[in-house]
Amino acid sequence: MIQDAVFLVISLCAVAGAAGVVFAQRLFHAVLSLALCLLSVAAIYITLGAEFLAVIQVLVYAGGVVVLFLFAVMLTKSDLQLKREPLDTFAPVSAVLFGVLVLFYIARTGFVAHGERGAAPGDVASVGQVIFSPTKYALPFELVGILLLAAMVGAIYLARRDERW
Amino acid sequence: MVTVYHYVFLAAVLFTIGAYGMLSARNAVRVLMSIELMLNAANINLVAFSSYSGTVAGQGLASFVIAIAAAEAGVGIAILLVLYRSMRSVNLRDAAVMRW
Repeated sequence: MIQDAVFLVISLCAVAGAAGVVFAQRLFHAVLSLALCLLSVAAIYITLGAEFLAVIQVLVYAGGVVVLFLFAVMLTKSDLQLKREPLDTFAPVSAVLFGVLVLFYIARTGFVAHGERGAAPGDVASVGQVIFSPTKYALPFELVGILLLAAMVGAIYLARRDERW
Repeated sequence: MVTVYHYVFLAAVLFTIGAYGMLSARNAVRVLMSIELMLNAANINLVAFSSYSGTVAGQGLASFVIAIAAAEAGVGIAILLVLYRSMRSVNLRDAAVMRW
C-alpha cells in the first residue's frame, strides 16, 4: 500500500515536471522543471531496484545536462523572448488524442513480464557484467565511447569562436 | 500493487508530453528539452521491463541511451549556439530561412 503511494507521488512529480518543461512561460523555469522531472525518473529507477542507473541518472542528467541547458538559456538570452505563438486548438487536442490512443493500446497489450518488481539486480557488478561481456554489449559499449568522442570534438568545433583554426 | 502497466503508462504520458512539446515549441532550447523527456520515457520502459522480467540487459541498454542523450544534448546546444550567433535568435521560425 505504501509502495502504491510512493509510486503515485513520484509519478505526479515526473508528470508535473514534464508539463512544466512544455508549458512554463519563462525558459529558466522550464529548465528547473526538467531537473524535477529527471530527478523523479531517478527515483522511479530506485523503486524498480536499478540503483546504479539512478546514480547515473542523477550524475549525467541532473549534474550535466541540466547545467548544459542552463548555459544554453543564459548564453542565448532567449529568456527575453517571452512572446508565445498563439496556441491553436488543434495541436493540444491531437496530442491528447494521441496519448489516449497509446494508453488504450497499452491497456490492450498483454505483457509477458509479469514477475515481481525488482527481480533483476541493479547494482554496479551485475550491470557491468552485462555491459562488458564480450558476448553481449562490449562492442556497443566501445562504439558509445567513440560516439562520445565524436560528439565532444564536434561540439568544440561548432562552438569555437574564432574562425582561424 | 504496482504492475509493469503502471510504469508503461507513466512512460507513455511522459512521451506524449515530450512529443507535444517538441512539435509545438518555437524555442530551440525547449525542443531539445522535450527530446530529453522522450528519451527518459523510453528509458523508464527499458528499466521497467528489465526489472519485472529479471534480466539486467535492459539496464545496460538504458545506460547506453543515457550516454547517447548526453552526446545529443551537447551537439544540439553547440548547433543552437552557432544558430544564435548567426541569427541573433533561437526562434525556430527564424531558422526557416534555411529551408529551400
